[in-house]
Amino acid sequence: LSYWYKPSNYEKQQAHIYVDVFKYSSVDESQIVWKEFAALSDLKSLMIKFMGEEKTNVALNSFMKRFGISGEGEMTSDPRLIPFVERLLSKFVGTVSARILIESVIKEKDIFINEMMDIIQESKEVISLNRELTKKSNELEKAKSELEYINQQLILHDQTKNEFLSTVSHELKSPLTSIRSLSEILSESDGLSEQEVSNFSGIINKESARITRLINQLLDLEKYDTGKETLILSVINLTEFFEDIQDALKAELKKKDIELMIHLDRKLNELIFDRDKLMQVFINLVGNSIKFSQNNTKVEIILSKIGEKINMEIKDMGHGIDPLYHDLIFDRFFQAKDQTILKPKGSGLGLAISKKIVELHKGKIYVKASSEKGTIFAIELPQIKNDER
Amino acid sequence: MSAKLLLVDDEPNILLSLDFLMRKNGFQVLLARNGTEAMQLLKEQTPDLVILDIMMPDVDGYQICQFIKGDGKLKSTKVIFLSAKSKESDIVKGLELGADAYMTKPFANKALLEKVKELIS
Repeated sequence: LSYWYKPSNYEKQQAHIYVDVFKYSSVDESQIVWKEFAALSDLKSLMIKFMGEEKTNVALNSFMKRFGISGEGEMTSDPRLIPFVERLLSKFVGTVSARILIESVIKEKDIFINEMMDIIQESKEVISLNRELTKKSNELEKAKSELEYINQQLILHDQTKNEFLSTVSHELKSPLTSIRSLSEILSESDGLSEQEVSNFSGIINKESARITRLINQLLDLEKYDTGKETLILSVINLTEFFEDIQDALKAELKKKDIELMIHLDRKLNELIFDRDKLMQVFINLVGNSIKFSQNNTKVEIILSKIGEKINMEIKDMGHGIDPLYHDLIFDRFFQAKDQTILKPKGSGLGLAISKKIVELHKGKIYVKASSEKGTIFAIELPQIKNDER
Repeated sequence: MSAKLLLVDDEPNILLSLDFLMRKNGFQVLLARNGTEAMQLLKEQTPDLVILDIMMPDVDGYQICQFIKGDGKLKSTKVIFLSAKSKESDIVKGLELGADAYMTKPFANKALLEKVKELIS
């Protein structure tokens, strides 16, 4: 069959006719009710009226080929011709109409009014059936494209999951590799200097901590993903909250001589949120700002209330983030994939977790602006009222 | 003269332990902290053997291996892939690119050293 399926519509139509011819021509002889014959020209003009000239010719030619008939005269006297034409026509006008029409041709008589009514009635049914079919076929088409979309999403999800697993295993194996190799060096090499011993042990400790941190972050993300993490809301004094952040980042700030400036809105003294989780977000964001800033610069936190929304901005003087990556940086391990020169420290999960935390507060986090002069991260939180807790 | 090794890894601590291990065993060592640095060094130097990480974001180990195996000047340079990728298909891919050996991370120092000595002799 596929041999007949050529790309053009015309050829497709032809192929359908061929299929029909084979279907209708294989009918058992005993089922043939027409014992009469009709002039081929009459049958042909009837077919042309309903099927068009092209299809008619294709059908008749294939009929001849199928039964090894060589000329039109032979075809006229073939008892299979009339049932063949009737069946073919019934595809276009319905079975009752086809029968009436054929009969009128064979008997060369006019069609009676009640037969005309039958034809009209059947046409109506055919038309409504056609409409129904078109509707169904549209619905199927829609369902098909929906399925295709879902399938695509599943494939994508699968790829993302595989990529994620492979990145996780890489990120776990890397520190493990240093730990194993260095502990072998420590236990098997003689004559290590005191400084080497302390250096290698220090790295082993740091790399162990890195694995622990990564595992904890993965578990955190899993909890957010499965909706198991909930907010523990309380009334937070903002001055104290930001002082604590300043304290937590004291060492990093001092190391690069960076000043952390905090601008609170006078209208805002207290807010309701999950203290530990939002602390995690700020430490992550400000920590990133510090990491990507030059020495001797400043990082600012700016709070404002706009309508019912709390706007928190973290502004740095770092080298900026390519606009291409403004959304992607919130993806898991994106940083690890994008490192261009030296591998940055950090798990590559910080922003993904921050995003989850902000979303759990029904807020938004995004890169508000970025240029080579610096970056502004914005967090928008809806103000939680005391009775909403 | 002792053999010259190029060590390529974007994990600073893995590079540090490889560096220590190889120097301790009498090799001359060149270090590359990423793919770009490795390519740079390979244009100037002719190491006897390269220990090559695969998953590096700028230029990955596969590309570097292809470069080595396609460069006439480096035709006697051996390549050991040292990678966290441990699937059969990864190993096959690495060896098909012409690498002389494939070892997975985390590795045993002794096994790596033996492989290096075997390939250089």
